[in-house]
Amino acid sequence: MYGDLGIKLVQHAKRTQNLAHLPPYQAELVRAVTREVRDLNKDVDDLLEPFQGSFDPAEDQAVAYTLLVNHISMRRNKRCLLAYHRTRTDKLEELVWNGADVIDLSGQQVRDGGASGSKGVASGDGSTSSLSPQEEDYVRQYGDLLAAYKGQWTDIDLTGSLEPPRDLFIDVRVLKDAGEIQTEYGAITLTKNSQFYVRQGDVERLIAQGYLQKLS
Amino acid sequence: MDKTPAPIFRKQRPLIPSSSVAPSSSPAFGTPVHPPKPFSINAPKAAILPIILPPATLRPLAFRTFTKKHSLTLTSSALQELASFIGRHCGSGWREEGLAERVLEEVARSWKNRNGGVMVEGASKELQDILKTLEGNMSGGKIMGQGRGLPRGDSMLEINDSDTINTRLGIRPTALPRQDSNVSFGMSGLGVQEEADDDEDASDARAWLKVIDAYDQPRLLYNVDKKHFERDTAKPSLLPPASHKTTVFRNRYHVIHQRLLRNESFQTSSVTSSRKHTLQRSLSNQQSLRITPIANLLGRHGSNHMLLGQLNILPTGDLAISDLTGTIALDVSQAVAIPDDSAWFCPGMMVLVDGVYEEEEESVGKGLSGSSGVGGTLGGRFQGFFIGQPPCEKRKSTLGISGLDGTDHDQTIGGGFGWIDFLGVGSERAVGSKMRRLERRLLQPAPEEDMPSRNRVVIIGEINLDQPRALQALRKILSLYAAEPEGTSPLTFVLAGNFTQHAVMARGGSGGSIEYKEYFDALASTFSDFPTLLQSSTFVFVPGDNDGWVSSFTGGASVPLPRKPVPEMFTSRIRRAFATANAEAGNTGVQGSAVWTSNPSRLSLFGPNHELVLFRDDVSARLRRTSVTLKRKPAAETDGAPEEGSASPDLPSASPAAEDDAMDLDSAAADKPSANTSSSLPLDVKTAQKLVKTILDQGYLSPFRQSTRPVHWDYASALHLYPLPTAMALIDTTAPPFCITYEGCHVMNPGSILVPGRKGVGRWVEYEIGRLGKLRECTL
Repeated sequence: MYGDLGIKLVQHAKRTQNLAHLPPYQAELVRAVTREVRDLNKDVDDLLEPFQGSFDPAEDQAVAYTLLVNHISMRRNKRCLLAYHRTRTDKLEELVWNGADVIDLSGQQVRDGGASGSKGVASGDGSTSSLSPQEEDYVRQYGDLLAAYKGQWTDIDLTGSLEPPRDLFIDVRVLKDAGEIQTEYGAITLTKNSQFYVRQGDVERLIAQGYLQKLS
Repeated sequence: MDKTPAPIFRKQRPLIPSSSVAPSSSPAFGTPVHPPKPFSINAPKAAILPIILPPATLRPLAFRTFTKKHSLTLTSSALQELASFIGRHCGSGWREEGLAERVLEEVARSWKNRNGGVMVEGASKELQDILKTLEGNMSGGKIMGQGRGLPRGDSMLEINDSDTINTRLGIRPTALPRQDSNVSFGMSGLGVQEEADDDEDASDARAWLKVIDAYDQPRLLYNVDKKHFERDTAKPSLLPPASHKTTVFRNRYHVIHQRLLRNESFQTSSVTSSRKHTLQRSLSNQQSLRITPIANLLGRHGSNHMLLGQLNILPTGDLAISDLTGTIALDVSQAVAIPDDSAWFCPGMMVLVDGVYEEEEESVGKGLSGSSGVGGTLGGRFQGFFIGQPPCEKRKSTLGISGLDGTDHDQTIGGGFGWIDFLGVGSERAVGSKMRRLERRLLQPAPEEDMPSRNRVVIIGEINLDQPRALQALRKILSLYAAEPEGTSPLTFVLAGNFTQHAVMARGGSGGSIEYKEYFDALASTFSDFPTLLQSSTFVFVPGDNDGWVSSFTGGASVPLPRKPVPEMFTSRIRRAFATANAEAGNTGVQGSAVWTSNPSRLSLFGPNHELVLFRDDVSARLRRTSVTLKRKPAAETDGAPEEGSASPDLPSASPAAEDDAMDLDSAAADKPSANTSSSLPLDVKTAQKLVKTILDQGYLSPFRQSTRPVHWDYASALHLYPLPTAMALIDTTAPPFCITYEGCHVMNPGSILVPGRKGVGRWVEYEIGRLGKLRECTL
């Protein structure tokens, strides 16, 4: 039936809203829906062809109804597509704001993820997000925009946590070797299982990326 | 690359880091000792005085750009690299003029585009590559031709007001061009700029020529769930566990399957069922094809299906077809190839078969015949009526480079793999436009038609060094190129084996290791007569099956692919010849070099822009040998369709459609004459077309059974031709020499250097990069 596939997309979108990660992009469904729209459009064209542009709905009511149903189906499909993509882009933007962009993408192109040594925010709950190539593009460009936006106020971490810190300095334990890295005021060498007492602002990013663990 | 234990212990950087193997003649040096390049006319202006920039001084700025803005973490070694780069190219004005910020911004951005991960490592190849690319784009401390590079980088403050408002309103600001429009933007933006600062030529185009060994290529596997390629990070081995053999097959299947599903004729129409009862419209006879998994055939006797699977041979010697779900015996004695006689079909290939499933009435030949339904083999038989190669996909649509010929929307369901770095030289989306800019700057075509130009690749095949005449022919060819005016010598010479007539070190006619070394010594002395070529070109040597070491135990039979280069101990003298030539010239630019590479291997020029596959194999002989016999054509050329109609009642509905589609696909390849005209073509051209179509449609360099042409399982991804390369040198002595374009991929075969049957004639192919190759001959 017309629109059967559209509702599936909407159901996927609904489900996505309640998930912490992003399920795989439904490329086949999206393709099928656009295909349906294209076919419906061809149908409409074929129906209208014999009238040569002088179609009077009052005379051919049957044709008029068919056209109406086709048209409404097309519009509904379009809305379903839009809804699905809107949900996904919202989710993606959320991921980018959480600082998951690069991690997420690099996890994407490395098999099994585990070997890449990076666990993103999204993969914290055991399942990973997966993007379609177009979405990947979107995330990159959105990430660029965000970086440009952040670049204006480098004194504030706009993507940081909204909860005020209790201490300026915290104890952290190193979970993964990363060599000598640079922070704002100097270099620290991260060797596995060592502990540091460092400025929280310096290491927040590393904690989120899974290199360090905060000790309470 | 430095291998020092820890970056802290390293000395302060010398002026020139090891990252730049050869110091470039960029204005950063401001030294006029470099030989002037042909197209640099003006003297360098706005020279930058290099300074030594301590990393600690750069740290705050770098931290702000990398960590605060881009959420990357800098390691100390990376900071060191950046500091020396900025000190060298931005000079003392790095802070005041804001030069360093732009550079850092660009590096951070490129790093992210390359999927570098959160840690920016100084010793990593990616960073070196990024810096190298950047170096080529720098002029007077600034990054040139910033198509979309930096306008966004300098925070949005520089974007004009209307854009800001647009952004607030959620409208795309004009200063942030879309990727598609980026190309044209870059061009137009560049036209002005390039005229303004054409002061330098950065360096030779050869700096961007990279020979990629099959063993160094990223090993990519297709992930069906994510519909994406993923890099296999497991350590490859020559003796991997048996499961990797199935991975090879599965990966090949998946890549072809996803490519096929994107094809227009496989797009299922969702409303066909509801349209069945309507009148026969023009669009309803354009029926979509559907692939049935083999396991789904069970219990569907007499129904018509289309299968995609690999042709196999059952233990009894019968032909079978396998996909991921099962295997079924296949009968192709009645099958017709679509389009007629256009490709080879061998066991080991992925093919599309259209036909009817016939359940077995009584169990004949139980057991070995594979019809007993054990081990994934279905009982019964699949009677094929049509057999075809899975149609291939243009490089552009695979990488999602639209806008160039994306006029008809039906055909442009791209793969969108533009972000994937297939060769380890950067992905199309990440570096493509930058590289194209470089290419326009560094590699200009000849001003006139017949003038020799720099952007050529000379491909010479089957140089049997144990035949004196081959060496003579080579000398003749090299002298032709050496006589050309300076600065126009070809970029690369591809010299392909076999370097001996018979398998070497296998007690054959070509002798042992001592003779083998002597052959190469003779080659070296030939080379040393042409010092100008050695200085200005890269020589790439592709071994054949008869070359060492592998030859010593295969004795000239087909060796496992990919095969390693000719061992260094035999070729040391040739390297020395190059070193001598370079030293003589005092060459400070990119030096001429001899690269001994694997078979197959790839040549990348300007990153992903030009990809030339080099492959030396006698494919067509093997195709002829192993090909399956299809239905013999009746002497009087009649159309096959009516006969098939009698064979199966429900076929005529589907088969004309299938035929139409296949024909369409073929005619879509505009460069290749369609099958209808092929009967009037000379036999040689037809053979060549058949060979090219087979290999490219398979998307795999070795579409044979493992026993016919073994493949190292862990390195099989190096044999994939997906996305299609821009060009391919398929050196096959058993096929006639040709230069053919199919689906945008230019395939060339120079054949043997000594033309068989004609004495004293040497033959080779000259390929103008990005254009066409042409066959050339000379008399000795």
